Amino acid sequence: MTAPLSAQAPNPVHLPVETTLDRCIKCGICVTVCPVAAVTDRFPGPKYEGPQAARLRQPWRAGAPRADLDNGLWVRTDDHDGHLVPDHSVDYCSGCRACNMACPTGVRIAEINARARAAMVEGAEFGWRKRLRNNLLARPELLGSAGYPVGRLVNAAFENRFARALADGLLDIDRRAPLPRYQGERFAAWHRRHKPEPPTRGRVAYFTGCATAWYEARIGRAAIGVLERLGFKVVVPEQNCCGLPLLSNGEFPAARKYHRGNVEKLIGLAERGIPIVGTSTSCTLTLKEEAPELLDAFAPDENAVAAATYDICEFIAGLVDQGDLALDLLPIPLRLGYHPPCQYRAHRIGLPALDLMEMVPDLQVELSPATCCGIAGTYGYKSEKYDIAMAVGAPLFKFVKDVGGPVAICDSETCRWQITHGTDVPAVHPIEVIAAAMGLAVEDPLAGALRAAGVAEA
Amino acid sequence: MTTPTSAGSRHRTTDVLVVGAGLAGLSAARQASAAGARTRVIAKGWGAQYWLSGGIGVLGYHPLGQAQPVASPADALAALAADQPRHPYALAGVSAVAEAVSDIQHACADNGLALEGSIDRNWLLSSPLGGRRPICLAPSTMTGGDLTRRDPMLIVGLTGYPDFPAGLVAANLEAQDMAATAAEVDLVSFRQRRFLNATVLASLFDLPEIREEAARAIRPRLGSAGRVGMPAVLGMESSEEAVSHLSDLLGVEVFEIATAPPSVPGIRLHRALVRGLVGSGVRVSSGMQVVGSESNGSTIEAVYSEAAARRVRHAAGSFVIATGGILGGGLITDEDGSVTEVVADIPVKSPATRSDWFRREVLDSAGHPIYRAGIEVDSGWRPLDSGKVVWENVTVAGGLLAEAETIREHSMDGVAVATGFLAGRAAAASLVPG
Repeated sequence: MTAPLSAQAPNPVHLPVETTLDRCIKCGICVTVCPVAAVTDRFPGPKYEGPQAARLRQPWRAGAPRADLDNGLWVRTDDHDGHLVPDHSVDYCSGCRACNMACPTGVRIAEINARARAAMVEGAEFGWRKRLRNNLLARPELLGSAGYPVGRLVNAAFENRFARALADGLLDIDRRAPLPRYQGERFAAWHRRHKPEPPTRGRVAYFTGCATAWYEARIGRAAIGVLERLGFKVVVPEQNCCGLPLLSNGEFPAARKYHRGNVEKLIGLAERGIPIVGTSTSCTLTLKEEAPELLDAFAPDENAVAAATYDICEFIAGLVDQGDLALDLLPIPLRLGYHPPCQYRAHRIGLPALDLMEMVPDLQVELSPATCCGIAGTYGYKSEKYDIAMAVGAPLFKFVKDVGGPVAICDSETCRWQITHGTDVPAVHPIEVIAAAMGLAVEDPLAGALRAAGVAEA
Repeated sequence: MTTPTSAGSRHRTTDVLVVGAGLAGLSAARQASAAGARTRVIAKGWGAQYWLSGGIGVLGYHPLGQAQPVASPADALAALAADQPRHPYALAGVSAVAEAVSDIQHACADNGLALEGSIDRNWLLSSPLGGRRPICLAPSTMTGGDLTRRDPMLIVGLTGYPDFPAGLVAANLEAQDMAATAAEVDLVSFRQRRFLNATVLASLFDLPEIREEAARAIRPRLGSAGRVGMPAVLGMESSEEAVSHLSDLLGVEVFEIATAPPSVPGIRLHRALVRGLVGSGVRVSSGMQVVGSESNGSTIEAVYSEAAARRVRHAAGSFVIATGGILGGGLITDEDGSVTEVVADIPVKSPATRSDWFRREVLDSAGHPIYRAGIEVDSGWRPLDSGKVVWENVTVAGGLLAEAETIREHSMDGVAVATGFLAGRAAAASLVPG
């Protein structure tokens, strides 16, 4: 049984995110790093929307934490006089967390904003069309499963200008935004017929994520290939959408159902010390922290699942650190650009994917200096936000084009699609690069890039 | 088919871990890395450089309470070292301070940022409110504002940008017998933005057409001014080009004046230093707040940073703690009067009780004792507890150090740079070979 890194102490007691607003010293550093405020007036900036506006919102918001001076504690309140938020501009926060990462005093700005949006949804501040649109975009599992059987039809519709114009006109889903394509066999079908080698180590559980489940099965195949090559027995537990798209659209009650669903399906693994490893940085961050923090979900089972969850590169690099494994890596003579998504940086684990890729002989990985690709999950799909998302992503697109490799590397699915949308350069997950360096067969677009670089197939 | 090579964990091994990414931490990382140590910087967030002026203030006032600013930091440093033998500058020694200041100047120049001046002379520049501000190294975009010069200045404010009160700056300069008038210009391109903050303006001034528009608005207001002072938002990526372009367009020298925070020149300085480190293979990560450490006897084996779901362990051969003082968050003060160091719980020299923190008057000319609280170190920058080294493989730099009163001395940048420089070298030198 392998239970790497489990000896580490968990973080201390969690207070509601709004309690961090008192740490704000109004220095404005967050405003200088916010990629959205830099390109649009619709979002004045994290300081104003987060710690400042939160002070105005708090007394009125149902469920908001409020100081109970008699007991010296933060308590939840149920009184609600219908007065919700000062204004709607907080909905333009993309949730990238660049503000959190730069804040010198530890204010949880992005989370404060996410909860403010949820209060707006709860208070029926959004019209039904916007709610419908957001709920559609925020349910990749539903869309994936409904669309897969008629995948070709959906692909055709996604590429049909009339259909896209209709979706834009009726639902404000921008006609230009990079919708995914169904391609090839879906992950679950592949996994059912997959025959692994006998394991030499313990078990790990693979959290697939909706994008791998429905659109990018190759990433799941690469992840399982790497973990099995390292000797693990990989199980793919029953699971559902992590709920992050719902969280970032303020649809908290629905997100809570998804999160509870996952906790109940995964707690058995966590209790047995089986690490839950994922390739989608957003899913793993949601299991670890986003759902618990935004939903105040700190029950023992929720904490246990969070503590058992790892990003796949974090997991592998941790084992390397501990001396538990040495990677035997083949050279890859390529120069490729790597963009760590904001959702990856928000794990606050450094850049383990880059650490691993830097171990690959002859591979030159250029680190993106850009803050964010702009898409922020569902944000860049929305008609009113598409142009903002593209402006936010512009420095990244320039970086990817300047590096000029045959593929770009990025850990997060919608970011990969946005990079390709903004540059026409296909994008792959770091685990695909690691898989290739371990001599495993990889798929296009990476396979083509390797062939062109003269790397022989294993 | 090439034979696989076992890569091991070379990119995950750290010799010197620097905690803190202010001037002290970045200076320490530069030295440790230059000495050949595999160096990594982790920080809670971005800090003091975003608040300060983007230059290097070494020593502005000594002795404290004197109205006249220091003319030559080198001379005043020698006096300070004699007067206060426990001051970080005294521990460093004047020549090491000079070496460190010159080194940071080179580091910036190598990364596209010109800092002008030397340790032998202070510039006298305008503060964001028009006060006199002594500073040792100043961005080249600011030195045209030298207040020892007598040529009249036009101070230009930008309508919609609240963090630079041009009228107040000019009035304060006038009150100090300097020829200054103010004008405010209202640019059509800026009116399209509802929120004009320093970074948005700086990106706009990176564009030549915005400078041309600004020059057209300023030209009729020039009068007899021989130079033009503008808020320090004249470009983020290309400030030197922006200032010289504006000067050419107006036919008089244009210079920047520091603004209320956030400080664009500070961001330029921070980015130049980080760029230099990243270029030499040093990873600099923010969002990693160190919350504890793991020790073995008298050495620290690892520190832990807060992260999603569980803490992250960072092992290293030696550690530089440059987390800042009370303002920077390296020291936590509590209402019970305790002052705690956050990384390794190093004993802090501070007033015995909370009532001793402050004197009666807010602006007492003797200062407040709590501002001199901090960590005492030995000659190798290792933390001390009653004269004994607490951790053998830890060095301390910057705002955490005891005995400096950096805000009143105008020494915050210089103390950080000099002690970071030395603590980084000491950390690399203390590594066990192999």
